[in-house]
Amino acid sequence: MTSAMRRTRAGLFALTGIALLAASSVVVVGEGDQAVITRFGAPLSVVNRFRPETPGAASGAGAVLKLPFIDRVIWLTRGLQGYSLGGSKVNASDGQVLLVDTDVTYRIIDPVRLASSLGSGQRVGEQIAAILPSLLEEQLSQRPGAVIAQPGSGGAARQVLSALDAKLRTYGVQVVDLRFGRVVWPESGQKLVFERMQDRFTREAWDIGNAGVLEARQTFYQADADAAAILQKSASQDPEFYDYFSAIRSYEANFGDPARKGAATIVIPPGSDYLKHFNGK
Amino acid sequence: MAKGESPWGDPGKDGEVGVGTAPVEADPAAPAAEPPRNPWLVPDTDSTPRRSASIDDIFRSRGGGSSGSGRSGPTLNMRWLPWLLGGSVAAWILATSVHVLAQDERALVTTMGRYTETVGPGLHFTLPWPFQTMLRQQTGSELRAQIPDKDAEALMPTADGELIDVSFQVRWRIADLKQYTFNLPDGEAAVRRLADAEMRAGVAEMSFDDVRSGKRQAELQQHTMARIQRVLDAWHAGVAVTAIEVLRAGPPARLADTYQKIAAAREKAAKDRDNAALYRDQAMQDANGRASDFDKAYASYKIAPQVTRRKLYDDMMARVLRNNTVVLGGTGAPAAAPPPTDDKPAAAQPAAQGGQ
Repeated sequence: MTSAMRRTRAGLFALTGIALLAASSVVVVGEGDQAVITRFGAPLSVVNRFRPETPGAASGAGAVLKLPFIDRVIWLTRGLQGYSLGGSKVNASDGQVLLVDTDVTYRIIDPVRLASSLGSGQRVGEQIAAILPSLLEEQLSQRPGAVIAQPGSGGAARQVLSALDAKLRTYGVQVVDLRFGRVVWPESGQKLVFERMQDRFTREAWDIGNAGVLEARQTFYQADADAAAILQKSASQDPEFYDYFSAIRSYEANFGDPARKGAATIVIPPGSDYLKHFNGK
Repeated sequence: MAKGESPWGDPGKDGEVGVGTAPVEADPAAPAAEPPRNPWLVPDTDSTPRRSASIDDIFRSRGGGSSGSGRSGPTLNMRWLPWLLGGSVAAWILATSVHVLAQDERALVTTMGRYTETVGPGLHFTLPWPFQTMLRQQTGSELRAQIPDKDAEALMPTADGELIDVSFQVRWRIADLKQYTFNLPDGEAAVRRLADAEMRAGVAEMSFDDVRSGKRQAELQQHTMARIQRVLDAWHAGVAVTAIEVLRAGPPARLADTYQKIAAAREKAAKDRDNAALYRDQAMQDANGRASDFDKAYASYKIAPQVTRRKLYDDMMARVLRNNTVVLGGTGAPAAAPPPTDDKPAAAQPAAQGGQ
């Protein structure tokens, strides 16, 4: 029994040992990764390095061997990575203060250089955060606020991109894209914009209301004139008869309205023309 | 012997292996040759026995206890162990090499990290992990990103220097899973960033009214979408943008009240115009009616002037007298009631009484 136990135990130890050894000597590099293999701290080789000249070509991903326990691996991302620096304060040339968000897209193109200078991919962001504010200030402070707020900030984005790219190349990083996302005025600057907008909205509301009133008045006058023209056309056939006709109509409308029945008392004197025949004369 | 058994030369293991000091025949042949070559063992030779002794004791006492309670115990374990091991290996192989992909799923197969193929829905077999790996992803359904998150306010400067609050949605699809997975590890975040920046760029080229009123919103959406797509294509991101929809475009929240006044003014102006139009229609109708009445009367007047005049007058008088109190023969002062002395003003009498 003990011998069987011992045999099994020895087998398990051997298995574990082989697994450990294998885990330490085989490096599986995925498609999305680049790996720098270092021996005693010095870069030895790069697995699955990104080649800018052939971005779509077959990669170097796969399993490679290294010396167990001695060679170390520094893992780096192969694809594009993003970094956003929010709310950098920038003084525009016209004295406005703006807050600028910058979105940087980059790629590690020289893993060895990155590994030996920064040691890890996470530290690229720190570098960008350290370098970018001064570049922004340098480029954007030459431009007025209105220009900075425009897309591309009047070419500033392009210039910041190339300046940042030049600096990050020393770490083996290529800046692929840089754009300004949010460009806003800080609270104090925003107040001015809001005040101006408020004035604008108020004026616009007044203009709209006023235009409505003017137009309505115009319509009233025009309607009266048109109505008069229509009547004039008919009346011109016989002005004298028109005079008589409209007087009669007016009496009828004012005194003969059934809706106001009995509102007036009409006194007809015996000598009136209306009763001329009634009196039997 | 005990030390010689350790294939890794780890002195810590000595104690455990040393359990069975007596039966040596089970030891593999290879380690037997090792002791002299093992470099770690040299300095340990004098110190190990003392240290390992105590551990040996523990093991011995344990081993003695277990063997005393029942000899079949370890034998049973030994018998089950292969089954247990075999079972777990089988389960592992089954779990990592048989894959069923749903209708809207696609997956990348990598062999030792290297891309092998992209597979669609259905049953697929791969080598077990760690030799082959399957990365599955839903590609059939559209992905959505709303910018900004939820109800946050995103103020964007317009071409005329105003600030407009714009909220929009990007809908997109994974067009190339391989590119999407490997070229753009944080795909969704990248799409969001890009969309936000491009939307701002688009808004900055239009006036406040253009963006708000929706007059040029379709153009803005189209434009932004094209620009995002162009950048993503250049990055080989494997993303196809399906649509960009502006969900909200309006004045900043704190100006909403003022802005409301514009809508109110617009409403009032519309009402003023409607009233005026109504007045005009009525005036026209009235004028036309009067004119046509006159025209008719004039037509008969032309034929029979005397009769027409008289008829107009009598009709008028009839209506006037019918609807009012009539006092006949008075001196001009209003009377309380008409004295019905005569039966001659019969025409006026009933009307007058009806009026009272």
